[in-house]
Amino acid sequence: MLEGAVAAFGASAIATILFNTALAWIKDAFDPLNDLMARLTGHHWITHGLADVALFLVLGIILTRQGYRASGSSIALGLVAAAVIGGSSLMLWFVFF
Amino acid sequence: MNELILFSHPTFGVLGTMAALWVFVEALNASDSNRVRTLLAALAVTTLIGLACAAGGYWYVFHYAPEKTLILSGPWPFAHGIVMETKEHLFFVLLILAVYLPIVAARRLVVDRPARIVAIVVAGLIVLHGLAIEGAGAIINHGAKAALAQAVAKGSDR
Repeated sequence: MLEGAVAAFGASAIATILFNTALAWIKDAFDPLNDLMARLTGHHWITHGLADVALFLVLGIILTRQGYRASGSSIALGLVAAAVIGGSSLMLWFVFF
Repeated sequence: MNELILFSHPTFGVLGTMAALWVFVEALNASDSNRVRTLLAALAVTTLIGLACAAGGYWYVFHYAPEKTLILSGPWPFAHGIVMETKEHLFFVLLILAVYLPIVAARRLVVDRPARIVAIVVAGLIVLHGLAIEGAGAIINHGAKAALAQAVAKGSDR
Protein backbone atom coordinates (compact mmCIF):
# COMPACT_ATOMS: atom_id res chain seq x y z
CA MET A 1 0.00 0.00 0.00
CA LEU A 2 1.25 3.47 -0.88
CA GLU A 3 0.90 6.26 1.65
CA GLY A 4 2.14 9.78 2.21
CA ALA A 5 3.23 12.04 -0.63
CA VAL A 6 3.66 9.21 -3.15
CA ALA A 7 0.00 8.18 -2.91
CA ALA A 8 -1.32 11.74 -2.55
CA PHE A 9 0.61 13.27 -5.43
CA GLY A 10 -0.06 10.15 -7.55
CA ALA A 11 -3.81 10.68 -7.17
CA SER A 12 -3.28 14.40 -7.72
CA ALA A 13 -1.36 13.68 -10.96
CA ILE A 14 -4.25 11.52 -12.23
CA ALA A 15 -6.76 14.28 -11.49
CA THR A 16 -4.52 16.97 -12.99
CA ILE A 17 -3.97 15.06 -16.25
CA LEU A 18 -7.75 14.73 -16.74
CA PHE A 19 -8.30 18.35 -15.67
CA ASN A 20 -5.70 19.45 -18.23
CA THR A 21 -7.67 17.84 -21.06
CA ALA A 22 -11.01 19.14 -19.80
CA LEU A 23 -9.66 22.71 -19.52
CA ALA A 24 -8.23 22.47 -23.07
CA TRP A 25 -11.65 21.43 -24.39
CA ILE A 26 -13.56 24.09 -22.46
CA LYS A 27 -11.30 27.03 -23.32
CA ASP A 28 -11.20 25.95 -26.98
CA ALA A 29 -15.01 25.77 -27.13
CA PHE A 30 -15.71 28.85 -24.99
CA ASP A 31 -13.84 31.94 -26.21
CA PRO A 32 -14.64 34.16 -23.18
CA LEU A 33 -12.74 31.73 -20.95
CA ASN A 34 -9.82 31.64 -23.38
CA ASP A 35 -9.78 35.46 -23.43
CA LEU A 36 -9.96 35.65 -19.63
CA MET A 37 -7.07 33.18 -19.31
CA ALA A 38 -5.06 35.23 -21.83
CA ARG A 39 -5.71 38.45 -19.87
CA LEU A 40 -4.68 36.91 -16.53
CA THR A 41 -1.05 36.19 -17.47
CA GLY A 42 -0.65 37.56 -20.99
CA HIS A 43 -1.22 34.19 -22.69
CA HIS A 44 -3.84 31.46 -22.25
CA TRP A 45 -1.15 28.75 -22.36
CA ILE A 46 0.72 30.22 -19.37
CA THR A 47 -2.51 30.44 -17.34
CA HIS A 48 -3.37 26.86 -18.34
CA GLY A 49 0.03 25.59 -17.20
CA LEU A 50 -0.10 27.51 -13.92
CA ALA A 51 -3.62 26.15 -13.25
CA ASP A 52 -2.38 22.58 -13.83
CA VAL A 53 0.66 22.98 -11.58
CA ALA A 54 -1.39 24.73 -8.88
CA LEU A 55 -4.02 21.97 -8.91
CA PHE A 56 -1.33 19.27 -8.75
CA LEU A 57 0.44 20.89 -5.80
CA VAL A 58 -2.64 21.97 -3.82
CA LEU A 59 -4.49 18.66 -4.26
CA GLY A 60 -1.30 16.74 -3.46
CA ILE A 61 -0.71 18.72 -0.27
CA ILE A 62 -4.36 18.38 0.83
CA LEU A 63 -4.38 14.60 0.23
CA THR A 64 -1.03 14.22 2.01
CA ARG A 65 -2.38 16.05 5.08
CA GLN A 66 -5.50 13.88 5.02
CA GLY A 67 -3.34 10.73 5.11
CA TYR A 68 -4.53 9.48 1.71
CA ARG A 69 -3.57 5.86 0.96
CA ALA A 70 -3.87 3.81 -2.24
CA SER A 71 -2.45 0.62 -3.69
CA GLY A 72 0.52 0.91 -6.02
CA SER A 73 -1.38 -0.82 -8.82
CA SER A 74 -4.35 1.55 -8.56
CA ILE A 75 -2.07 4.62 -8.83
CA ALA A 76 -0.09 3.00 -11.67
CA LEU A 77 -3.22 1.95 -13.59
CA GLY A 78 -4.86 5.30 -12.89
CA LEU A 79 -1.86 7.15 -14.32
CA VAL A 80 -1.79 4.95 -17.45
CA ALA A 81 -5.56 5.33 -17.95
CA ALA A 82 -5.44 9.11 -17.39
CA ALA A 83 -2.51 9.48 -19.80
CA VAL A 84 -4.21 7.37 -22.50
CA ILE A 85 -7.65 8.97 -22.06
CA GLY A 86 -6.27 12.49 -21.62
CA GLY A 87 -3.84 12.30 -24.53
CA SER A 88 -6.14 10.60 -27.03
CA SER A 89 -9.09 12.83 -26.08
CA LEU A 90 -6.96 15.92 -26.62
CA MET A 91 -5.95 14.81 -30.10
CA LEU A 92 -9.46 13.65 -31.08
CA TRP A 93 -10.88 17.00 -29.94
CA PHE A 94 -8.57 18.93 -32.26
CA VAL A 95 -9.21 16.44 -35.10
CA PHE A 96 -13.00 16.77 -34.96
CA PHE A 97 -13.66 20.28 -33.57
CA MET B 1 19.71 34.03 -29.44
CA ASN B 2 16.12 33.12 -30.40
CA GLU B 3 17.36 30.17 -32.45
CA LEU B 4 19.39 28.99 -29.45
CA ILE B 5 16.21 29.04 -27.34
CA LEU B 6 14.26 27.25 -30.10
CA PHE B 7 16.81 24.45 -30.44
CA SER B 8 17.37 24.13 -26.70
CA HIS B 9 13.68 23.10 -26.38
CA PRO B 10 13.97 19.71 -28.17
CA THR B 11 17.50 19.22 -26.82
CA PHE B 12 16.36 19.48 -23.20
CA GLY B 13 13.34 17.34 -24.13
CA VAL B 14 15.48 14.54 -25.55
CA LEU B 15 17.87 14.67 -22.59
CA GLY B 16 14.90 14.55 -20.18
CA THR B 17 13.43 11.59 -22.06
CA MET B 18 16.78 9.78 -21.90
CA ALA B 19 17.04 10.52 -18.18
CA ALA B 20 13.53 9.04 -17.71
CA LEU B 21 14.70 5.89 -19.52
CA TRP B 22 17.64 5.85 -17.10
CA VAL B 23 15.22 6.00 -14.13
CA PHE B 24 13.12 3.23 -15.75
CA VAL B 25 16.15 0.91 -15.92
CA GLU B 26 17.39 1.82 -12.42
CA ALA B 27 13.92 1.16 -10.96
CA LEU B 28 13.71 -2.19 -12.75
CA ASN B 29 17.03 -3.09 -11.09
CA ALA B 30 16.34 -1.34 -7.78
CA SER B 31 18.85 -2.00 -5.01
CA ASP B 32 20.35 -0.10 -2.11
CA SER B 33 23.44 0.62 -4.19
CA ASN B 34 21.53 2.52 -6.92
CA ARG B 35 19.08 4.35 -4.64
CA VAL B 36 20.86 7.74 -4.73
CA ARG B 37 21.59 7.38 -8.46
CA THR B 38 17.89 6.72 -9.18
CA LEU B 39 16.86 9.83 -7.24
CA LEU B 40 19.50 11.96 -8.99
CA ALA B 41 18.31 10.70 -12.39
CA ALA B 42 14.70 11.50 -11.43
CA LEU B 43 15.75 15.03 -10.39
CA ALA B 44 17.55 15.36 -13.73
CA VAL B 45 14.26 14.45 -15.47
CA THR B 46 12.41 17.19 -13.57
CA THR B 47 15.10 19.78 -14.31
CA LEU B 48 15.49 18.92 -18.01
CA ILE B 49 11.75 18.67 -18.74
CA GLY B 50 11.24 21.93 -16.81
CA LEU B 51 13.91 23.62 -18.95
CA ALA B 52 12.35 22.15 -22.13
CA CYS B 53 8.98 23.56 -21.05
CA ALA B 54 10.47 27.00 -20.27
CA ALA B 55 12.36 27.22 -23.59
CA GLY B 56 9.45 25.89 -25.66
CA GLY B 57 6.96 28.02 -23.77
CA TYR B 58 9.03 31.17 -24.33
CA TRP B 59 9.19 30.43 -28.06
CA TYR B 60 5.49 29.56 -28.26
CA VAL B 61 4.31 32.67 -26.40
CA PHE B 62 6.61 35.27 -27.98
CA HIS B 63 7.66 33.95 -31.41
CA TYR B 64 5.29 31.25 -32.66
CA ALA B 65 2.43 33.45 -34.00
CA PRO B 66 4.04 34.21 -37.43
CA GLU B 67 5.00 30.54 -37.79
CA LYS B 68 1.40 29.53 -37.02
CA THR B 69 0.09 31.85 -39.76
CA LEU B 70 2.66 30.39 -42.16
CA ILE B 71 1.78 26.77 -41.33
CA LEU B 72 -1.97 27.42 -41.70
CA SER B 73 -1.39 28.91 -45.17
CA GLY B 74 0.72 25.95 -46.29
CA PRO B 75 0.03 22.40 -47.47
CA TRP B 76 0.17 20.94 -43.92
CA PRO B 77 -2.27 23.12 -41.89
CA PHE B 78 -2.94 20.16 -39.59
CA ALA B 79 0.65 20.59 -38.32
CA HIS B 80 -0.76 23.47 -36.27
CA GLY B 81 -4.50 22.69 -36.16
CA ILE B 82 -4.09 19.20 -34.73
CA VAL B 83 -0.45 18.50 -33.91
CA MET B 84 0.61 21.78 -32.26
CA GLU B 85 -2.72 22.19 -30.46
CA THR B 86 -2.32 18.68 -29.01
CA LYS B 87 1.39 19.09 -28.26
CA GLU B 88 1.05 22.38 -26.39
CA HIS B 89 -1.42 20.78 -23.97
CA LEU B 90 0.16 17.31 -23.81
CA PHE B 91 3.37 18.95 -22.62
CA PHE B 92 1.70 19.76 -19.30
CA VAL B 93 1.07 16.03 -18.72
CA LEU B 94 4.78 15.42 -19.25
CA LEU B 95 5.62 18.26 -16.84
CA ILE B 96 3.32 16.92 -14.10
CA LEU B 97 4.76 13.39 -14.45
CA ALA B 98 8.30 14.83 -14.37
CA VAL B 99 7.55 16.72 -11.14
CA TYR B 100 5.97 13.59 -9.61
CA LEU B 101 8.84 11.22 -10.50
CA PRO B 102 11.35 12.35 -7.80
CA ILE B 103 8.62 12.06 -5.15
CA VAL B 104 8.34 8.35 -6.02
CA ALA B 105 12.06 7.84 -6.63
CA ALA B 106 12.85 9.15 -3.14
CA ARG B 107 11.33 5.97 -1.68
CA ARG B 108 13.48 2.91 -1.00
CA LEU B 109 12.35 1.12 -4.17
CA VAL B 110 14.19 -2.13 -3.42
CA VAL B 111 11.81 -2.91 -0.53
CA ASP B 112 8.82 -0.70 -1.46
CA ARG B 113 7.30 -2.73 -4.31
CA PRO B 114 4.21 -0.50 -4.86
CA ALA B 115 6.42 2.60 -5.18
CA ARG B 116 8.74 0.69 -7.50
CA ILE B 117 5.81 -0.20 -9.81
CA VAL B 118 4.67 3.43 -9.86
CA ALA B 119 8.25 4.65 -10.54
CA ILE B 120 8.56 2.27 -13.50
CA VAL B 121 5.15 3.30 -14.89
CA VAL B 122 5.78 7.05 -14.46
CA ALA B 123 9.26 6.83 -16.03
CA GLY B 124 7.81 4.75 -18.90
CA LEU B 125 5.00 7.26 -19.48
CA ILE B 126 7.54 10.10 -19.56
CA VAL B 127 9.57 8.25 -22.19
CA LEU B 128 6.48 7.61 -24.36
CA HIS B 129 5.20 11.18 -23.98
CA GLY B 130 8.69 12.55 -24.66
CA LEU B 131 9.00 10.54 -27.88
CA ALA B 132 5.48 11.54 -29.01
CA ILE B 133 6.18 15.21 -28.34
CA GLU B 134 9.53 15.08 -30.16
CA GLY B 135 7.74 13.51 -33.15
CA ALA B 136 5.06 16.20 -32.99
CA GLY B 137 7.78 18.86 -33.03
CA ALA B 138 9.21 17.33 -36.20
CA ILE B 139 5.77 17.43 -37.89
CA ILE B 140 5.28 21.10 -36.89
CA ASN B 141 8.75 21.92 -38.19
CA HIS B 142 7.94 20.21 -41.49
CA GLY B 143 4.62 22.06 -41.67
CA ALA B 144 6.52 25.37 -41.55
CA LYS B 145 9.14 24.13 -44.03
CA ALA B 146 6.48 22.89 -46.48
CA ALA B 147 4.67 26.24 -46.27
CA LEU B 148 7.90 28.13 -46.98
CA ALA B 149 8.72 25.80 -49.91
CA GLN B 150 5.24 26.40 -51.31
CA ALA B 151 5.64 30.18 -50.97
CA VAL B 152 9.05 30.07 -52.69
CA ALA B 153 7.64 27.89 -55.51
CA LYS B 154 4.73 30.31 -56.01
CA GLY B 155 7.18 33.24 -56.06
CA SER B 156 9.40 31.60 -58.68
CA ASP B 157 6.35 30.92 -60.91
CA ARG B 158 5.67 34.65 -61.25
